[in-house]
Amino acid sequence: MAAVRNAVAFGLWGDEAARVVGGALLGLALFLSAIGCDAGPVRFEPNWVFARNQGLAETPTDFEAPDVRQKLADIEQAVTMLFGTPDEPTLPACENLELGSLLDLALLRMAAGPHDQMPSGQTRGLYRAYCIRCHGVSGSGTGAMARDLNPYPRDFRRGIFKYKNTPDTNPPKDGDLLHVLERGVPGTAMRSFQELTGEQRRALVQYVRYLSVRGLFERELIAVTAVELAEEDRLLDVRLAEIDPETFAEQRAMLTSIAEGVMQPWFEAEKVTMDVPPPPPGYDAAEGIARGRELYFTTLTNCAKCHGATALGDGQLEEYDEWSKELDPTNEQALRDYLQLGALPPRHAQPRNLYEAIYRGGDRPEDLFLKIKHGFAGTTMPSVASQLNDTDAWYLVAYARFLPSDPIGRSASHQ
Amino acid sequence: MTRKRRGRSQGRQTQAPATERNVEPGGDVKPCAPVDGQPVRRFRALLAAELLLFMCLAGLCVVWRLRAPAPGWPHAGDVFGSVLRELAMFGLLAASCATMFLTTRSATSGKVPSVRGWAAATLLLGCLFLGLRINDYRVRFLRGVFPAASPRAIFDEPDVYYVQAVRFSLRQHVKRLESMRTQHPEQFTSEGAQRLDLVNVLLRDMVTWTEEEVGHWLEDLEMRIGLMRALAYQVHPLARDRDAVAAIIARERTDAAVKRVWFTVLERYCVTKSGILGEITALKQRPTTAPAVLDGMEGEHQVPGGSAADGEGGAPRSAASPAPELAAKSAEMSALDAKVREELAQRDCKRWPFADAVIHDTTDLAMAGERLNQVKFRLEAIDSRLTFLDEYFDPLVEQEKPRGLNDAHSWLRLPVSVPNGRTWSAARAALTLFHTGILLAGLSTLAIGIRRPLTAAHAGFWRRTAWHWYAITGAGAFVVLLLSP
Repeated sequence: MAAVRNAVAFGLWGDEAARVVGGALLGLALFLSAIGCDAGPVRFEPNWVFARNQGLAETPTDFEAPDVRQKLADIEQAVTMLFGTPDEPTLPACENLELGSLLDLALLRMAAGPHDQMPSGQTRGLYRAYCIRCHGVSGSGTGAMARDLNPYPRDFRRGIFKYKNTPDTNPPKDGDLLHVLERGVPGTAMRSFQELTGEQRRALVQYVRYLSVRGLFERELIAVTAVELAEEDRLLDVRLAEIDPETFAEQRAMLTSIAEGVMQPWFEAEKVTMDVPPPPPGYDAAEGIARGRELYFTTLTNCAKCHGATALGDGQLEEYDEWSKELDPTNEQALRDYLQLGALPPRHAQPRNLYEAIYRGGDRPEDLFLKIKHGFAGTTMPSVASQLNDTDAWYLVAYARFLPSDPIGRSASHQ
Repeated sequence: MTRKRRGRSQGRQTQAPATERNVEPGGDVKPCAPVDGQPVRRFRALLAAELLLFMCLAGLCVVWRLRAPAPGWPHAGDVFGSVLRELAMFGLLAASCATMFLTTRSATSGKVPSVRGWAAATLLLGCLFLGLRINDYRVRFLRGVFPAASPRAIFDEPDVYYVQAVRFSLRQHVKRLESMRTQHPEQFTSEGAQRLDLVNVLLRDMVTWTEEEVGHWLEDLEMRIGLMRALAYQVHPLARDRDAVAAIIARERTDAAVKRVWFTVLERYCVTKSGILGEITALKQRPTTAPAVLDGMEGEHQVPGGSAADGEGGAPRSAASPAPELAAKSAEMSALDAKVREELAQRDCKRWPFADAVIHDTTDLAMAGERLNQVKFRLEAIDSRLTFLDEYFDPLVEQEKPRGLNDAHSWLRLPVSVPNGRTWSAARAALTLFHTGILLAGLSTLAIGIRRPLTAAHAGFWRRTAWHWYAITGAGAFVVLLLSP
């Protein structure tokens, strides 16, 4: 109250200068109250980085050109038509796919929108409450805090996930995403969300899937527009809905078919199983560890090339992961453009220091087995499934699990 | 007691300006009481505060030192310190104490020119001390020994992280020199070429060798740690490590000679086995009428490649079956395996994981090739390492006062490993910086005092300045003590 009284006194009874300043502040407050000071509805940011990558625009200034703006607007309209907005997510009407088994609209609406209570009493807007600061509105991994995090948050729009139980670049299963949400990713800013209810976690998983599928669809449209579409053609012209419904229906059917193509691998991922064979007896005994060490130094596995001879994760420090490679980091001009378009500065891929025993993909022997055998999608850690038999993979697991207890790695002086 | 009371009473008074009234003809002053400067009580508080703070810092150093493991506190020379230099600096301070005493005495007896002269001498000695201290800091800063020493510059122990830091540092040199060679060839002199050669040799025969030995080839923990210690010694020798490191390198030489024999045996084995594997592959590709026999052979002896029937894809088959020859080759391979095991056992190598891996993996032609390459690289690495030891390590242990790589090539500035080096560095920086600070305050006071009118009335000022100076010297004595092992 004293502060208010002082403020009023300052505005009304102070000297001339104070009266002017106080009046201006009062006027500004009244103005803001009248027009409202929020930034309008939240919208998905367009993927301009990929548009530049695909040659839709050569430089950031080209994005202002009328034809480029038209193309980007068409893409945005098409994506919005099929996938809705951050407040009102929708799903495309795919005749050939049972979308309900992939994305549950009720759960999506629980995760989407502003963070408040629904009429039913349920909390909604979970994504904006828990994820948006790091992952951003569209799941681009460029949220407000992203720049300060190392590693950067995941860009869901590429559909590449590292911590999953599906091979290569296959999309993750529902359970993989749920596992990450429950457990977090050790050694990163991604914490565990155990405090959420099971339904809330499932809703977030659904929303991550949705963002990923939406992002992939957007990328596909950008690629189609840049590469396949003739200069005079348009991806989507909403005016045709009234003047030429037949052509509009054709355009819509093409978009739906592209969306189906994008979503198909997600359905298949659920059917993929990666069995972990039982380890050979005594695999983690001295002989197994010694065998694992010998394999570590062969070109069969190439472990030492990246993780280094002493397993400190310093063998190679110049490579980039798939997300950074898209920014063409060795091309200075291109990189400048991408940064101007909102990309985060690329960082070199950092192989894991195996002495630290921080395993982002899980620390159970089975997790290590799968990671050694199938690698991490999107990173420089390749799959060695074709070169390495299961027994040898288990020996490598034994060696990896032995390293943190190796006395030479337990120094505190580097801390 | 009388002096003390007078001091107190003087402390409450303000300065009496030296006017013509209290100056007698001839320059001498009347014996009057006024003093200038800080009131005495405040001066004592200031002096006590300075000493208290200094004692706290000194106490902290003592605690750190007592808590350090028995041989773990650095010697004077370990972190670029020198007892001689510190003693010389302390000598300057002690001499300045004498001149300061003479200044006070002259001031009391009112001998103005004498006061100026002795004060100037004190100032000069103090400045000399300051110059030496600045040089001391310069030497440390050049080596990366900062007050809050970077963890990448000083390591408390020569571990894998230390070796990694040395590698990164050498890589930086390579990058810089290579870039100069390609982008500014006119600036790349023969000295640059020599530096590049040296850095490459160090990277290959010192750092990579140590990392590979530690990470791959050595089982013995003592030896693994010892090799890293030897590397640290080569960069920045610590006198206490001399004998231990010499013993480690002597053992390394012996081991290298033994392992050279082992690798030679394995090289011969790999070549012979690759030959047999090649013959087996050729036999398997020969058309045959007896695929079942071949398939049986493959299962029994792990003959590489697909079955003969698969490989032919319906091609006409000759009547001559290679099965007997394959069986013979397989037997030859088994005999070779047994022979190499026996030979290695005879050469004191009963259990060597690498040998097991080579014998296990060379059932495949590609892997046999890879293992052969590994063996060849290792043989080359051993030869190269032994040459390196002759050229770089032996002179180091033979020298009376060993000069490490950082001393011999000051541009290298590789990270150093000194037990408790970072703590030592921080403790010493805290003490010496504080000491330098109060010394600077003392020098400023002297500089101001000399420029002011000098009368016997200023004797109090000089007395207090002298006490401050004696305190500085006393603190300086502790800084010297800190250098003792």
